[in-house]
Amino acid sequence: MRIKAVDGFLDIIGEHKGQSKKIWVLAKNNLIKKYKGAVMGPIWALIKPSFTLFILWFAFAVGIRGGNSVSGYPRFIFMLSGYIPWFFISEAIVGGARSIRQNSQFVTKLSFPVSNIMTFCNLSSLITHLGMSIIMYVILIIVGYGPSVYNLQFFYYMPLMFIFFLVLSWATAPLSAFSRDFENLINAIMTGLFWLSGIFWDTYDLENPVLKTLMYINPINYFINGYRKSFIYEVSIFDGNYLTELAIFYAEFILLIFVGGHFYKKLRKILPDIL
Amino acid sequence: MSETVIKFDHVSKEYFLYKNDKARFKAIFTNNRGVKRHQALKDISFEVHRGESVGIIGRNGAGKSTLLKMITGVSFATSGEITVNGKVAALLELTAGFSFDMTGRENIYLKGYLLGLEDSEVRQIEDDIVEFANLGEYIDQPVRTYSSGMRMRLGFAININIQPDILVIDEALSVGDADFRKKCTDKIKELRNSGITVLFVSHSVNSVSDTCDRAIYLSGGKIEYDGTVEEAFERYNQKK
Repeated sequence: MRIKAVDGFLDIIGEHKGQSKKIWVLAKNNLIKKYKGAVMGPIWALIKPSFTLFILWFAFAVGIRGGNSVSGYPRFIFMLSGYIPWFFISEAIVGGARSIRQNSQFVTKLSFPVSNIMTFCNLSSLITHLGMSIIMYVILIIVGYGPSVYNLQFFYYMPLMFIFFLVLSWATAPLSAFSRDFENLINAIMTGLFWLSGIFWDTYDLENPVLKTLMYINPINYFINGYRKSFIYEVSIFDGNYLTELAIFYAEFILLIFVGGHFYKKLRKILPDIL
Repeated sequence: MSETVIKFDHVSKEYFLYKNDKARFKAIFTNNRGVKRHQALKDISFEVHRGESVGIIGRNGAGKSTLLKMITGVSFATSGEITVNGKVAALLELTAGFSFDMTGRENIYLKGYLLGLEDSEVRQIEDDIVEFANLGEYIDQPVRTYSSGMRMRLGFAININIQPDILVIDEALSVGDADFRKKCTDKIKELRNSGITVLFVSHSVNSVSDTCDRAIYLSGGKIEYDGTVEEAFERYNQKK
C-alpha cells in the first residue's frame, strides 16, 4: 500500500513535467467554456460570488441587528475574509471530484496525463479566486484593514490551499469517476462542511479546549483562519499559539499525499475502460 | 532488420464486467475480487519494424480496437509489456480534445499541445494544417459553428501533419467528400513512402493489399495469423 502511494505520487509529478503551457491553455479554456455565449463572459465567474457576498452583507450588516461583531470584528469583515477562501475551497472540492468524469474524453480518447485534468480544473477555480481576492482586498483597505506586512502571508496560504485541495482531488476525482456515489457523497457533505468550518463563526473562540483542538482537524479552518491572520488578525503563520494547528495540518497534508497517490495509482489504468 | 518501433510482449487485456453500479462501488474496496472478466486480448506478441505497413484484420470483437487503443496509449495492458517508440498519430478519434468554443486556429495549438508538441513546432506546421483542412475563413471561427465534416477535416489535417513516426488508421473512418478523401489517401501514401510505420485496420482485401505488405489476423483476442496479406485474408474468409 505504501509503495503504491509513493509510485502514484511520483507518477503525478512526472506527468506534470513540461506540461505547464498545455495546462494553462486548458484552465483558461475551462473557465471560458463555463460562460460561453455570455456577453460579459468570464466576468460572471466574479459576479456569482460577489452577489452572494452582497446578500450576506445585507443579511448580517443590515438585516439581523445585534450580535454584529465576531471576536471584536464587524461580522461582515469577518465573514468576507472567510467566505472568499471558502468559495475557492468548495469549488475545488466539488469541481475537483467531478473533473475526470466531466473531461472523460481526455481519458477515453487521447493519451493524456490524467492527473493534469485535476490541475487545470482547479487552476481555473484559482483564477476566479485571485479575482475575488482582489475585490476582498479593496473592500478591506476601504474599511480600514491594512495594508500590512501580514497581508503578504496570502502568498503562503493561497498556493498551499491550491495544492492541498489539488492533492485531495487525486483521490476524489478517480473515485468519483469510478462510482458516482462518491460524487454524490461529496456534494451531500458540502453544506455540513460549510457550517462546521469557521466561515460564519470563530473556531478559535470555543470555550471547550477539546472542541477547540478538534476544530484544528478540519483543514478548511487552517486556510480560513489563515486568511484572517493575514488580512484582519495580523498574526504570523508561525505564531506560537497556533503551533498545534500547524502540526496537525501538515500531518494531514502528508497523509493526504499518500492517500491521493495510492488511489491515483490504483485507478488510473482502469479509468479508460470504465468511463 | 530495421529498428523495432512497436513491440507487444505477451500482452493480455481484461475488462471487468460489473453486474451493476453497486458491484462497481464494492469493487473499489475488494480489489475486483470475484468480478467477472472479459479477456479481450490473450497473450499477444508481435513486433513491428520501422517503415513497415501492417494491416490488422479480424471480425467485430476480435480485439482490434483494444489493440489500437493500447498502441495509442489510451488503454493499458493487464499483463505483459508494450513498447512504442515514436510519435503516434491516430486517425481514430479525430475530434477528441477539441474545444468547441475556441477557433479552428486556436484548436490547432490546443490539439498540438495535447499531442505533445511545443509552441514552435505547432507554428511550423500551422500553415500546412490550415491549407490541408481547407476551411477558408472558418479557420478563425469557433469550432462549434463547424459542420461535422469540417470538424473531421480539421482533425484529420492536424493529426496527419504532426510528422508522426507511426500512423494508426481505421478504415471505417469517413472524412468528408470524395475530393477530400482522395487528398487523405494521397497524403497517407506520401507518408508511407517517406518511411513511417503504418497500422491499418480494415475489412477489405483490396485496401489492405494496396497499403500493406504484412497482415495480422486477430480472432477471439489471439493472433490467428501473422504474415502475408493474401494468406491472412484466406484464413479470415475460411473461418466463417
